[in-house]
Amino acid sequence: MTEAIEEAISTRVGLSLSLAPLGDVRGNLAATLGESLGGVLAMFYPPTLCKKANIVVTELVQNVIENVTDSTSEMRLDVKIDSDALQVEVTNKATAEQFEAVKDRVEKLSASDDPKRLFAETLRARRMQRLRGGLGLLRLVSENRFRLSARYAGERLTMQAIFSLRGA
Amino acid sequence: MNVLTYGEIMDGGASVFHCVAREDEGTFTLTLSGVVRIDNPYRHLANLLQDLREMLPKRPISRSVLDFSELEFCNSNGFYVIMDIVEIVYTSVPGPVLVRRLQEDDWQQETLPILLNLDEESIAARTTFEDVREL
Repeated sequence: MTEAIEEAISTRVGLSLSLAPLGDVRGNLAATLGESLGGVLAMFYPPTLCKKANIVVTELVQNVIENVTDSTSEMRLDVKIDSDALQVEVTNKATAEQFEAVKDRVEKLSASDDPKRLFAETLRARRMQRLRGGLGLLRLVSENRFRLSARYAGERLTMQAIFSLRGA
Repeated sequence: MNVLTYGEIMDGGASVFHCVAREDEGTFTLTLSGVVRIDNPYRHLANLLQDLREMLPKRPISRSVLDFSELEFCNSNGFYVIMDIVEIVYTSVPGPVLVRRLQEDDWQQETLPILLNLDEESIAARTTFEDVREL
């Protein structure tokens, strides 16, 4: 398990990407962005951190792609790494109802004192019902130790995921 | 080594994931390699699952090896199909199961045991892990 990144991090990287309209997306955007970012970060950071970056971008962007409400809208991806943390934000147009649903899930995750058990129970329940999706955020917390938050302004939902490099 | 069946995921015209099922003198080996990143892996792996369901109960297998050490990435859309594959193995063949996995990979260390359903005592009792370092 990689609770903290043991190697000293001195390189600072910030990357931003905006993409519109989302209706133009062809192919596996989440995978392409995740792999591309992982490739860039591998020049500077240990593999465990690059994998986390790959996973968080893949899961958050996949959530956006699977829940597009307006094909003319924009998605924005912001990634920042310094000696303290890996921070990823993904922003897209969403309804207030979508935000409430995401906020509920994030709050439930944050309140859980055993995210791994919550993940296992949710996974089994959703598999029984063959429900798609709904596991990405859980995985980010349970498996990868990200702290999640969600905010909403001007019909835009921003998901933020932070992994502390100081093991906190 | 007798290859029993084989599954592959194509993404963007490229082969990105392979799952090979082999049998050798009573040992069943399932090797998963590449990346699972697509939206619906069942579209590509339905035949593999069907083959495993049909073949494994008929084979004289006494131990199994599930090798995840070449599986570089699995998105959350791939979790169910991994669960289905390992469930078929555990229910179709008897004996111990050795799970080879990457030592420094969060999903293989944290999530894979959940996908294997190690909370189930009978499964946990049959399972041992071999942690390998990524090359």
